[in-house]
Parts: sequence; structure tokens; C-alpha cells
Amino acid sequence: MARQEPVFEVFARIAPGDPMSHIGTLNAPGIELARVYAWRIYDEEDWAEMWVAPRDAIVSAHPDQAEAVSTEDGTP
Amino acid sequence: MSGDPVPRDAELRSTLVALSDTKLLLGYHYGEWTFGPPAIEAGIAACSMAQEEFGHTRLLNGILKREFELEIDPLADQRPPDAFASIAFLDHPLESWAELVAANAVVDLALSLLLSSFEDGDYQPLARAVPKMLLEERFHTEHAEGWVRVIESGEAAPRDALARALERALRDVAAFFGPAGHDEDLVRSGARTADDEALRGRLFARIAGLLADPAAVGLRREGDGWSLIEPLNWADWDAERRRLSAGGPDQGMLDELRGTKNVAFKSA
Repeated sequence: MARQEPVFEVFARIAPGDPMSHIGTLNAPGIELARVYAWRIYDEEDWAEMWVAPRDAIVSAHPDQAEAVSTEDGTP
Repeated sequence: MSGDPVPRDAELRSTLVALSDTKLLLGYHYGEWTFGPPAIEAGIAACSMAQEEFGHTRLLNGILKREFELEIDPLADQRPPDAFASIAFLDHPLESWAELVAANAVVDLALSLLLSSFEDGDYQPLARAVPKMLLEERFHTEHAEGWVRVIESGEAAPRDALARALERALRDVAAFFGPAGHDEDLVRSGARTADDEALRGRLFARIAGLLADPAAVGLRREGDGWSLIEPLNWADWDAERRRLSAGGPDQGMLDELRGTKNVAFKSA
């Protein structure tokens, strides 16, 4: 299993109405396992909602950015 | 063959013990695989599933204590291995990720199916406890099925290893569900809404549905459902322990679960 697995971004909000926050990233071979991993790894809060999205599905809306979501935060 | 149905209370008690014992061992194996899976995320998931299985064991043991005055606290329990009513697939350390995935996909699913048959039954101590357990188990199933699909779509060697492990797990779980009719009293009395034969059929169908070649794990089409290509011989079935084979969990595993080596540190 040496192949590089896709990166998923994890978003959540603690209570309904709170802003959705980006809470982390993870690697998974597909969306099914990404859902399981996200709920297991980022379990420090009693989240009202949690969402995962493949990083390469997130596109920039900023006119000066052509790339997909930034990786400058040091995440994989 | 089915033998005479046993009375409802005795059947309830032995079913609860089988669920508790198997969940204890399953929790051990998940814990064992906190380190070593192909991805760190899978290790975190395994650790988390271990905690939930131990939690379920504690809950089931609480019911056994309250309803049957039976104490099987795993840390204090000194039963010998051949007294455990656990699924034989969990008797030894799981040596490969394929075996862990097979335990996750087949053994864990068997326990969830058995629990679900009590959800709408009239045995309230278990019917009340089941929904929360099944909510947690949903993630176990998703984890298992996610990994089966990943391995199925991958290279031949891991796929073959998984097929071998699944075949063994399916036979041991088929034995756990017992010969047709052994549990008819429990179903007829209203404690459960499905019998073990129906659950075994659902489990076979669910696993077959994940695989390109169900015959590779020993399953074949039979009518609308699935059955084992090589049927089990029920002559030696132990109804109390829900298994065909003698023996039981590795003594070393039980010692680790009980903290035998560190008993000197226990508070007086």
C-alpha cells in the first residue's frame, strides 16, 4: 500500500448556526473510509455537523488563485 | 438437525454471554491493530472500535449481572479458554491486515445482525440497549466494507489473502449462528424478530454483494440466497458455546486482557 492516497479536507460546526470551520485533513483511499476516519480522528468535540470533501474537488474562488485549495498550512 | 429448543431464559443467557465474549475478543483484536495497519487513520479507527466493543461488553455484562446474577467482568473473570462462547475466528492473534478486515466485515457484522434481531423484540433489557450499540456499529460496518472494496479493487496477493481470511471467518460465523431451529423458542416467544438461520442468510448475502467472485470465499448461490459451498457438519455443535471446534481463545490473549502479568500492581 505504498501508493499515495487522496487527501480529504474535514469541516465541522459545533452547534447549528455556528460557522463551519476547517478542522483538519486526512488520507483515505476513498470517500467511504474518509467519512469513517474523519469521525474517528476529529472527535474532540460533540459536533453538530461534520463534512468531508476530496481536496481536489475544492476550487478557489479568489480571482488571483488558479490552484486548488492551498497546502501552505503544512498538511499533506 | 436442531435438537430440542432450550427454554427462553437459558437461551437469552447463553446468547448474551456469546455476544459479550465475542465482543471482548473482537475489542482485543481491534486494539491489537492500533499499530500496524496500512494507514495511521485505520489504526485510529481500530483503536476507536476497540473502545466501543469493550463498552458493549461492559453493557452486556451489566445485563447478565442484573437479569441473571451472572458475573463475567472480563478483568476479574478467570474462566478457562474452553469456557468462552466466542467465535473461533478470534481465538488467535490476527496475523495480517486481511484477517483484521475479515473480522471487521464478518464477525462484527454477525454480532450486529444478532443484536438487531432483539431491537423490536419484547426482551426489554436488550431491546433498550441495542439502538445505541447499532449506531456505533454502523461505522464498524462502513470501515469494513470500505476496506473490502479497496482490497478487492487492488492487487492479486492482498485480494487472495482477504479471500482466505473471509472464507475462514464465514465458516466460523456460520457455526456461531448454529443449526436451523436451535433458537426457535426465543423467536416464538417474541424476544427476537429473526432467527439465526435468517441472519446467517443476510450475512452471506451482504458479504457476497461486496465481492466480484463470492465462490472464492466459499459461497454459492442457492435459490434467492447464498450458502456455503462446503456445508458444515453439525454433529459436534456445542449449543452453549455456539461453535463446532473445541478449544478457545489463546491463553496469552486472555492473560493480556486480564493484565495477569501486572496483577501485583493492582490496588489491594
